[in-house]
Amino acid sequence: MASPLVTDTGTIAAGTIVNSYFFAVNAAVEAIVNTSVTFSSNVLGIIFQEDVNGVLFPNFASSDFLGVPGTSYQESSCRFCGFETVGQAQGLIDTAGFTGNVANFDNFYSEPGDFARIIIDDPIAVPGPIAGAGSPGLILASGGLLGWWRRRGRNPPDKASRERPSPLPV
Amino acid sequence: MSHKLIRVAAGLALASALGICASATAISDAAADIISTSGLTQVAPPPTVTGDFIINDGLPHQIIFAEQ
Repeated sequence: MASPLVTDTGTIAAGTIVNSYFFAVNAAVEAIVNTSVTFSSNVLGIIFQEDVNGVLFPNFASSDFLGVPGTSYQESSCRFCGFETVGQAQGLIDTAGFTGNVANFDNFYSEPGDFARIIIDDPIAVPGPIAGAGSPGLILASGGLLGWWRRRGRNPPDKASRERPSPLPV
Repeated sequence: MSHKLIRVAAGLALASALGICASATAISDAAADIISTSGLTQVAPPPTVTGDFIINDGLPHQIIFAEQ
């Protein structure tokens, strides 16, 4: 990212390479659920909150650049599409959090849905395993060297061939 | 073992080792993946994210999809 990204759980520094996932729960019938997702990399932040009037925090809109190019995101103008973290009875409050590479969500949801954007650390591209660089390659290379050494030992170059003739005429 | 046979074996072994090493330049995938979920279904990105896009698109009620 060229600039810092503000999430509802903290600010992610500029220059961080990230991936993002979109979380959504939505149904015609009310439901209370606890869900979680485990990623291959650490979670860096989550955007999920709305204010007491149901207006999503601006962090949603400001992070839409992480969205899927072919998807039209209209969640920013949707009231009550975030997590209701206040103004709810105990047990009906929506929560989101993470520890390491695991994100956890508690939702009391129906219509419209509850949405969140999860920002993940992008693993650094590393070279894959090099075939032939491990033990098999070492054995093969050793075998080749052994063969060369044995051949050299049986046919030592004669002294005459080791002595170079003088390049200058005598 | 004759000298010729040793020479051939040595050449094959070296060529094999060096050839395999030279051909390996794979780069692993850089994208973070989902290892597991509890109560969520991973789906393909929808065309539109509106307040009731899950209901309207007939998707599972609790989903997650990859963005960028």
